[in-house]
Amino acid sequence: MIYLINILIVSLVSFLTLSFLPYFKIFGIVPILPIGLFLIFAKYRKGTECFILASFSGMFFDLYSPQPFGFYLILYTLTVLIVKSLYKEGYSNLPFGYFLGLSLLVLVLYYLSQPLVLLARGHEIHIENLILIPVAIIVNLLFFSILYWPLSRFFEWQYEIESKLKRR
Amino acid sequence: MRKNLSLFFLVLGFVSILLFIDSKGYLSSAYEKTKTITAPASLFFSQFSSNASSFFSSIFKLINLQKENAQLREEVNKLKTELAQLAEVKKENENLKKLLGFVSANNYNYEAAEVIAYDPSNIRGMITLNKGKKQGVLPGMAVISEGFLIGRIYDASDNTSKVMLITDPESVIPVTLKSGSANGIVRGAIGLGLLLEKVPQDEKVSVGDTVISSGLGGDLPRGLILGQIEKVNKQDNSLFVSASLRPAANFNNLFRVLIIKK
Repeated sequence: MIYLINILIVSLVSFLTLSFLPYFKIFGIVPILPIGLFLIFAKYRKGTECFILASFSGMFFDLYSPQPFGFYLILYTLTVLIVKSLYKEGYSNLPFGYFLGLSLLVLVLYYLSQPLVLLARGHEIHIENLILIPVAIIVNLLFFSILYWPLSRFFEWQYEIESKLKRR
Repeated sequence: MRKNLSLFFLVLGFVSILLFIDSKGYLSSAYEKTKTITAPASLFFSQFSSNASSFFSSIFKLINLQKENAQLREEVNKLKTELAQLAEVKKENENLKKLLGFVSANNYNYEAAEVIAYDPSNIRGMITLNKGKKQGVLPGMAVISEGFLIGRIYDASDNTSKVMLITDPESVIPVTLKSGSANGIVRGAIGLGLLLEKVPQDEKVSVGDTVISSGLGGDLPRGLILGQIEKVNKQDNSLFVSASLRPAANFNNLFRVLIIKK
């Protein structure tokens, strides 16, 4: 049941990012919500489940993207891998500052990979064009901060319920 | 950590296998089916969002309505006068065309389509439409919104098609200036709208000039408006003039568009 709910959440967030939020851009930026979701998700859920759902969302994004197939699939699973390896085991919850730091790292990786793909395809990239990147990172961090409270509470609650069920 | 790393490499292996199968062309029907399944949900979200966005912008517009109304009345009067003059010119033009045995060039077929998804990267400009090959949509066709060129079909599957917007860094459109004879190309720029390039130095390019598709290359019809020149960058040691454009179409609220069929 919990898996099903999580699949629904991932699908909803993917649809929101692809079809809903582009009409409500802030400074011309659409937030990449699945990255924020997987950053929180990876803290509370097991590795296999995270990788499966990240692959599912990534494949979905690849269908609607001009990037080479597999771009989002690798990006989202890489996010899960980074998060899984960097989260400190000692923390029972996910501190906000830690979450923002990890978000910044993943977003920098994400926004640098986009022009790199264009460069690899033989396109010229002017430095002044990259001014969008810091703006995009700030807007995304703002959205992730809004997501942080409800999602971390929700996954914490899921984790507690699962633990109780296991004890029984 | 080791387990996660092996899971990641498993995914990498999976992507490599998918890429290999895709290169042989076996995945296209799977893509098609997935898109057909997900298209209605995407359309629902897109439609809901577009309506909500229009609703909120209407509320903000109400504040300036009286002022705007007066301006519009003035504009209507001007346009009425122009229209009367144009009707005369049209009549004269038609008579002259008849005399020359000219066939009208603007005889396009249009296919209305709705946007079901946007590329979320913020760097690229790509949208997905709910019409595809079954409706006669083919790669290269021009896509317009409110009369302005917004892009061209990049890839078409049976029931959906991807449009590369003119703001995408990979988009190149042959153009000309409405006021003169200067030819050039318009490229998309990351986050900076559009750039006019490859216009010879001796051509006159001024701020406010309207840039239209030149029809060169045969893909796009001539005369589709892309935008207006905002800033001209002229360097004495350069062979060409470049300029930044303000796009004519509103790329923030694309929902219903028209595909120009050949």
